[in-house]
Amino acid sequence: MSNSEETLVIRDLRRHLSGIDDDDNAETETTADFKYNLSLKVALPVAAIKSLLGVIQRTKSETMMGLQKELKLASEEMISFANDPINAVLLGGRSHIALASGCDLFLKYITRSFLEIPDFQACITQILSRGQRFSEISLAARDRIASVGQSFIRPGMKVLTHGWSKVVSSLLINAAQDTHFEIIILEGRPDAGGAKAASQMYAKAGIPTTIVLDSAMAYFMERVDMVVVGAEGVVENGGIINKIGTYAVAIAAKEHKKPFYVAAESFKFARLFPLNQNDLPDMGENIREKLNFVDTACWIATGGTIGTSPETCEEKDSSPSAVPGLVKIPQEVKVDNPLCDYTPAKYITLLFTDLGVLTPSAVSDELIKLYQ
Amino acid sequence: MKEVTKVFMGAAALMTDGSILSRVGTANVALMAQSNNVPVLFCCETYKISSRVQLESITSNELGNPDALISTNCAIDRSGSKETNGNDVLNEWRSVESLRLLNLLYDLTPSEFASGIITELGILPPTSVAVLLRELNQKENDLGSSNI
Repeated sequence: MSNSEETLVIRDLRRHLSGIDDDDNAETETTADFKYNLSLKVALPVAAIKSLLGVIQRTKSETMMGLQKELKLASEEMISFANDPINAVLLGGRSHIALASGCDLFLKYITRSFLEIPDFQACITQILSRGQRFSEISLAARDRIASVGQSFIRPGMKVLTHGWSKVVSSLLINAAQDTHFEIIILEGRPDAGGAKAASQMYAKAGIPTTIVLDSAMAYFMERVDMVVVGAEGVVENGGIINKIGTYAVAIAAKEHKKPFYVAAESFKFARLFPLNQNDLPDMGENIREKLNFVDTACWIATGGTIGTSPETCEEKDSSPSAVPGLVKIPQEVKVDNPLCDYTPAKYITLLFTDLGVLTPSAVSDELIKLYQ
Repeated sequence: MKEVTKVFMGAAALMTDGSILSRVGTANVALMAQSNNVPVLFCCETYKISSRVQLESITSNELGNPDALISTNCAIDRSGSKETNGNDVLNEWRSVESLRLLNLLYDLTPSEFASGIITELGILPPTSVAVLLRELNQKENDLGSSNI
């Protein structure tokens, strides 16, 4: 594959991630959006599949084998792009698992289409026309999830959630239109995902929201009635991979006998089978050590400015490079900062997907059917 | 078991509910591994999946040679029989009326003790064995094979 072809795929991926050219991405956000907000609008697998559709449009292959080879190369390109820590900002800190599973599913879909329509050109036309509607399909998936999950939220409930997830937010905001309930959300270090979600989505929707420390999760668990989280990826045994901290929430929920629900689209189903945290796919070498701690003691969730008044910080350092509210870490102290963790299936009560409400063991059923 | 990180075992058959029929002793190993949070993986081809369900180990088991239990010595000499030194307590077990030796060959491991089943189609959770049976049977029916 020539160099210009590779850059085209990545260029497409960037474009789709920023959602600039998408006019069917009509979400009800206000005009005061930051650039990273735009990039977080589009689900990562959707952007990847659109880029793969671009590869199909530009292909000069005459056979399915040739096209599959090109698509495979393009997927690998995108996965290594996602692994590169330089691109972490564009990806909004999401892992590439959903990307890999989305590409996998798309390649399987191509193969299956070719089995139905043996004529290469006709098959390509069919795929491209279906592909144009793909972003609608993924938004429709979110709506379907919101509708199946709605009946689980009853009036007066306290719902605990974790992390920034468009699926969960659409589910909760939808439910809030008919039911009155409260949200408790974890602040979500190190990227303050929870705090951002609360201020930008739930507060605007008028749902009473409380932000608590990640460490305070177990303290509040006895007060909540249910837990709902999103997922970066859903694995074969019905477990999920999600933002760090989800595993802890799941264990506490199980201990307190609170139902733990997961909201995820079906293109997040991946052919992975982790046995423990160690088995998670590599997120890239440098990401784990890179720390972007947000000192929430000084972070004002609505505005996002770090407080500069000396009264708010514990350590008074008079050197000019000291930032109030931050603790200086010496070189000898190591820092480990994983992005995602794996929650085994036994902690998950039900999954809300666009295929319906599934038990964790049914996920494997669906995966076998998808990949047969 | 504290030093073990993973357990791999084979299977003679898989039941539809995900229980594993295997060489006697497998259930013991799986139980110990599970209580120490060590993952247990079973390697089993899909043709070993049975449409039966078995609730416990003793029904439809197989009996081996009871004389194999006489000696606690594991060594087997060239002729294939166990080395006995004539001093084993159980040597004359047949002469004791109330004594029987029972050599069971298989036992049943409940599906909760298996972390995953490794088949030629990929790694599955034990609860999905029934799904695989359904999919494989469907494929057979679609291909027009009537041998089942």
